[in-house]
Amino acid sequence: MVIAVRLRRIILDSRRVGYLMACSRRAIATSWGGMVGVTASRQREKLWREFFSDPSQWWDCRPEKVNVRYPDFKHKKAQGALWLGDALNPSWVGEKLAALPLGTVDLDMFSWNRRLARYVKAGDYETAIELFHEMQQKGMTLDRFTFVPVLNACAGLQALEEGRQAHKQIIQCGCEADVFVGSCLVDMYAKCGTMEDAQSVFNKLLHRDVVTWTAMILGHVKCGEGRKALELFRKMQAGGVRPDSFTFVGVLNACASLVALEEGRSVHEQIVRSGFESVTFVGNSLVDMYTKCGSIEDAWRVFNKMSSRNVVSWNALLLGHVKCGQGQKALELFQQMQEEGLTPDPVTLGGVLNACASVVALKEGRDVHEQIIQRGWESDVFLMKSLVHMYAKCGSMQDAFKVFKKMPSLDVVLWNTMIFGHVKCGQGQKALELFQEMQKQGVQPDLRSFVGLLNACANVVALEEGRHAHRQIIERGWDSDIIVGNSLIDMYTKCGILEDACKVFKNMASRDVITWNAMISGHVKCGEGQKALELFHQMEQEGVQPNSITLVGVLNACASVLAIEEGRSAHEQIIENGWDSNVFVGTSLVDMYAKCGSMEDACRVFNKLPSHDVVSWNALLGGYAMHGHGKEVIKKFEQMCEEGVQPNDVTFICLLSACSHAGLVVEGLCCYASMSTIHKISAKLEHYTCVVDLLGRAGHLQEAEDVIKAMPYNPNVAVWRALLGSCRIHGNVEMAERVAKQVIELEPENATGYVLLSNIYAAAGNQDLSKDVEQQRKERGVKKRPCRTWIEVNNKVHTFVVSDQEHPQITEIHAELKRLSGLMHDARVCARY
Amino acid sequence: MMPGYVPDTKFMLHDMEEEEKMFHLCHHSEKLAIAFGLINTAPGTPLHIIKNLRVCSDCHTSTKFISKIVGRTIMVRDANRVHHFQDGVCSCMDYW
Repeated sequence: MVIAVRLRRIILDSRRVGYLMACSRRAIATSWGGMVGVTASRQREKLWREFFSDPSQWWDCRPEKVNVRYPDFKHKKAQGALWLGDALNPSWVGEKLAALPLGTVDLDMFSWNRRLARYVKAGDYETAIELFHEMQQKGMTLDRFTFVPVLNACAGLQALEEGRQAHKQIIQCGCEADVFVGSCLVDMYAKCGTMEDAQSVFNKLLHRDVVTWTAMILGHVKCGEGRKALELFRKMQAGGVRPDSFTFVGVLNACASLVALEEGRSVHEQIVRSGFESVTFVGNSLVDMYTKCGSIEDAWRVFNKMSSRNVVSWNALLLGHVKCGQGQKALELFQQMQEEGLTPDPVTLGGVLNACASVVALKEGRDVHEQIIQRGWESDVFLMKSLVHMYAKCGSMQDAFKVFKKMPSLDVVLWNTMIFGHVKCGQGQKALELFQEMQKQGVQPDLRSFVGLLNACANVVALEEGRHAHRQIIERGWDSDIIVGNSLIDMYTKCGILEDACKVFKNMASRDVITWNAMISGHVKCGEGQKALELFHQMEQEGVQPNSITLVGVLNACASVLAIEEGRSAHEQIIENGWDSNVFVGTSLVDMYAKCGSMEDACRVFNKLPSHDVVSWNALLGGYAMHGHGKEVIKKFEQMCEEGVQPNDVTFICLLSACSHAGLVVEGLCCYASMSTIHKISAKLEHYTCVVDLLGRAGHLQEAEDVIKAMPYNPNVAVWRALLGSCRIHGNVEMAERVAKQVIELEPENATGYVLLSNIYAAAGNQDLSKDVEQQRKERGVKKRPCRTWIEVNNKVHTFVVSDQEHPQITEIHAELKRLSGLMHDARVCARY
Repeated sequence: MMPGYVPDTKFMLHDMEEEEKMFHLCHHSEKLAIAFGLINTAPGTPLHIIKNLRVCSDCHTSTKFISKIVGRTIMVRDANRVHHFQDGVCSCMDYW
């Protein structure tokens, strides 16, 4: 840009010289016109004859003529000049000129240079370079006006080799030390990224002006050497060269890249002093510098002061907000910008798409997609990538895939975006397929791809694929990476293999809070709540600061092992850190207290939450349901609706199971009816299971079976098991036999069906059939799940299994049981009399 | 006056003699846990227990009795729901 401006200035200067020359010539011609008109016309005729005798000795100046006074033909060596429109021309000139074959007269240097400059200005660098080659072939003498545009073209194309060739020519012509050509050389090398070459030309220059210095500064900024750029800026000023607006742009970019806010501020002061603050592109760079240095307030101050703002100004501010994670604010700016009548450019739209991705604004994202299509920017790879990213982040994988499919080339980053998008949407299988497809298309997966793959494996519990990925990660030597380690732990725990997760954990060179969180929540998920709590204590001992997610894991662990005292101390820690106002944490607290049996505490925490979403309401309702407080659940549900919180399918599962546990058949059926009619939620299989349980428990066995027959789903084992449980309560042997057959068929490796049926026979007094069923179970090798019981005593959770003999206090326990048995016997005796 | 406790052996399905069943019933894991809790906590302290399966009807009946005899609140969370045993009565009203 700097060079282009300079070039224009040079051309204008040279044009001015030509103009002055022409004027003086005309002046001479007119002053002689009256007196020696005949002589002049004879001379003119002679000159034309000379011209037609050997046109190759003349320059054709017509194509690039900008001034009528400038001659149309000029002799290459002598002083002769000819004008076509001259009144003194002989009459035959036009006819003879038309007969002259095209290209007989060489174009003059000025025309060549002008053409060169014009192509460069239009950005057609390739044609400019072709033209340059043609000039060389014709053996024309090249000058600074040739080299300046050629070097600019090389810089624009980043054609280093072409640039070096031009440099050789420049040396031959002795133009290297010329300040204009030298500056362009520095600029060319800087833009091609070879700062050593730029430096060596720079060092050879006898005279350096602001353009030379600026080219060097911009070059260093481009190569990411912000420090060097600032150093040069200081040296330049020390040498008495005053910076111009472009210099300031370079220096501001350097400050932005270094995140050097203080230096940026002092440059800003200097800009204000030199009066460049009102230059729009300087203002834009200031806004950009402040946003990149993280000071949005300063950026706004500059932006508000700017007298004229263009799309770049808005982009700088908008991208700044996106970068600071203020996506919503960025979207507002986009709106405001359009209201002020500015047309967004691809950079704006890319920024807006990133903003949409960060705040999950699918609707706005789609609008931007519309705009991209309307403006015909669908071939912009950067925009298309942003679109894929936005759709993936917003969870609209179908749209993401549509754009993805149309991309001309796919890099690993795009594949990763798609893989992570599918993982996030819970489509792990699709992510696994994409990983395969990526390798098939010859794209090498990177570390992030493997993290995505592990997450996908965790998502779909694909242990074999996960292990395979682990082996590949080890082969590539990426297993020491902390993110990879964390993902491996997550994958193994989600697949239920705690042993391997612990192995990875032990071998990790460094661990962060995410590592501990993965271990804690992983153990909770695998039913090892006690171990999860131990891990938490170990984490604290090692001095790792827990975050809110850690505490959520701890609360879940407490809930799973009924460690209410541990839960209370976790609650205290949550309050200390101010996380109790977080709905996510609060919901886990409600759940923990409810599962640990204290609905009072659960209710207290719930009431203190600053806002209630459907998930926190579900935790409370689920708690009441678990405790069998059917009436309370219905009351709270009404309160929830009054607060304007829309219930979801889980809410109704809580409601229906509460009614079922409390035997509230009519209320339960009313709830079920209101679900689809009032709340527009279609019943899932789980809801039907609840209804079957509700009816069955209350003794309406036939109605329960009718529900199963009429529902629009294939009954799963849970539905049949609910009915079988009801058959047991009500001793319906005939139905139990039918239902148990279904349960065993659907889940042959599970003992529940056998046990329930055998119990039903036993309860009906049919010990033989009961034993037969048991026998059948044993023959098929189906094992009962071992019964376990946990109790928290003095902040420690103790585990018991059936006929436990291992416990250190077993003798005392037996003695206590014996004492209790005696007391119970007495009570029985008392009752009898 | 609450009815007396008679061990409920109907659902014991192992192939064993009645006496042996009695022994096993006495040692269902939740009973062990309750006994452990009683001897290790101060009188009157509520007990909190979890089971990974559903509570069996024998344990349900005996826990009701124990809550009455020892004057403690016993909370049992089984695979299905929470039972609060207090003064010989369970919050589920025997509907579980």
